[in-house]
Amino acid sequence: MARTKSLFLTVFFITLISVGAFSISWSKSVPDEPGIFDPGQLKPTENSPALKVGDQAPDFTLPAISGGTVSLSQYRGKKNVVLSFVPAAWTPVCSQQWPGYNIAKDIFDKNDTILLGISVDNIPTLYAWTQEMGTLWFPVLSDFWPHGDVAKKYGILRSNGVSERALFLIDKKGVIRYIDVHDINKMPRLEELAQQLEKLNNLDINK
Amino acid sequence: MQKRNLYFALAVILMFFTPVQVESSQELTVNADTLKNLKFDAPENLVDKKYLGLPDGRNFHLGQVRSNYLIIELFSMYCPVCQRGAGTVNQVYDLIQNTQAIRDNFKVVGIGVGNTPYEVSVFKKKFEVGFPLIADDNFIVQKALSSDIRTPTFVVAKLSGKNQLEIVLTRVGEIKDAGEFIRTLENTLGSH
Repeated sequence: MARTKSLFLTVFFITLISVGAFSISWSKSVPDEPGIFDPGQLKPTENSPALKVGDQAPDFTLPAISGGTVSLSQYRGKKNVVLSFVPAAWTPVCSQQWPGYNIAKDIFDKNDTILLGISVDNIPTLYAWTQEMGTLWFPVLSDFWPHGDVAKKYGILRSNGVSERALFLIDKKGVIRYIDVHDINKMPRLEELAQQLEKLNNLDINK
Repeated sequence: MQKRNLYFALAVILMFFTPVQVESSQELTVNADTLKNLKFDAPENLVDKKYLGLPDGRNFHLGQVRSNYLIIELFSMYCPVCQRGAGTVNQVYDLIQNTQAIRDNFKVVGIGVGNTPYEVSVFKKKFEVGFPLIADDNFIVQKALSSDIRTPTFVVAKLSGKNQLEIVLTRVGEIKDAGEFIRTLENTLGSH
């Protein structure tokens, strides 16, 4: 009986030490913002784009977090479109990329371009995550089901079910004008995208 | 029986110690010697350059700023908390500019951590920031910090000429009350 008690206490004690050690090591890997999961350094890119500049952009219809659906084709003849695929909600870089675009609305507006944010997360997750970003001016779309179907069409679905961090600029005829399948660990530079928007808008103006 | 008491005592001690260790791992210290030697691109805007009292040249050290104290905001254009708090930081700057005793002693500069000059200019324009913002696209300011940068972070340094710099205050996280922050600055002024 005494041995059983001693064994129980030893197990209890070891468990406490383990929990303590876990708490300490987890706290060291907490990223910049509370609530953000740090997946560590990932392979920069896994896919070479299946599409190239000059190709027709595959059409799609996806549910938006604001309700209803959004189709790429609804902007045909009206607006240039930037598709911003981010790998996953509640992860570093992704959690800042769209807030960055959110304060750059005038850059999109002056170049007659709409931004569509796309992630493979489901609507409730995207809703909760984007609430932390303030009020976004652009539609956020869920490519959750069939899982990553649009990312797959664009050739950027990773083997673990998340998408690459990728930007596609599509003109008013639905033709892809710029592709950036970016290092998943890094933020695409805003000026590079702004330059591409301006370049395309200048072509439109001079037509 | 004695052994069991010992186990319980150790267990209770561990339960109290664990959160303390977690908390302490998130503390921030700033190495003044490293910070003062970091070289940044000088602001191109002449008004900003004049405000900081910088000599001619493309680069500068923070210790070259002509002021008794320098408030450094580490921010990112991409950080939603920095965006949300930009108005309050502007209020802090305005209060400083409108209070002579503080204005004569404190200057403010923002460092856009991981941001390019273009990205910093987007933030400055969007939030009508009155004080200079400089870019740190290579994260060099990280070299002076003991832990990963969490934006926004505020560092107040005492400058004593000849590129000498002493850290007098660090604050990680958003400023929620500009007046309270100003009172903290006034206390800092009183105690140094």
